[in-house]
Amino acid sequence: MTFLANTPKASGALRYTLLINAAPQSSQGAKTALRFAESLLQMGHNIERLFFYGDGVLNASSLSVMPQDEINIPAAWHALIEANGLSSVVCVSSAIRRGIVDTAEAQRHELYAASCYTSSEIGGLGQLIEALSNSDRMLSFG
Amino acid sequence: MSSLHIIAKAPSSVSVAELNALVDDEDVLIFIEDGVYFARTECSPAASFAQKFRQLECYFLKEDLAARGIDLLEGMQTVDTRGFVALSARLPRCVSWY
Repeated sequence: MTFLANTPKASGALRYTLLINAAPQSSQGAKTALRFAESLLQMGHNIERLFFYGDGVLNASSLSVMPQDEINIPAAWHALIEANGLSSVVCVSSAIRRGIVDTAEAQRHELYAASCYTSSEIGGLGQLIEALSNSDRMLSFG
Repeated sequence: MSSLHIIAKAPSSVSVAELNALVDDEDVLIFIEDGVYFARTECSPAASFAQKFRQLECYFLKEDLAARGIDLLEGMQTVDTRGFVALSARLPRCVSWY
């Protein structure tokens, strides 16, 4: 039984920053964050920025291949970001050590391929702080 | 300022002492992911915390209860993900436990 009557709706649209620390393959946190982000947008709130940190950067991998009966969480993030024009940042120091690189990082480090979805940018913690200063809420998923 | 505590780990993986210390009477709790095992604390180390949270406004995420086949005890309330969003909007701060 669901008691939504006891959870009053927000008085207005809020701006959220979501910090995603969980890898898509190793815990439920990434999927929870994805579902939360989808519901947030459906309910008329705004996402100031998605920030992927630590193992969470693996959510931006464009090279993940999933079995057909499982959700491809990185692909689902990519679709959500593209469809809604969201700002999505992947922490650079977390990313490059895990093989998540965009074209510029791949060239800089002389790697043979880029692995980061183009819907996310490689950036720094300053962009998390900037987003927080513009947000009403910050939620962390691990 | 009251907070929404988001508890995402099983009772065996969260510091119950810290929860007891840091959750205030006016706070709201939501149990998600393996945190929904807090619904069944009869024989767990979280029993002391269960006594406390049952006095508070608390919710269990419906999808995660269903995925684990957990039945709630009488008086426990559930929300879906939209309800989770609504709680996060209602409370001025969110604290994640994972």
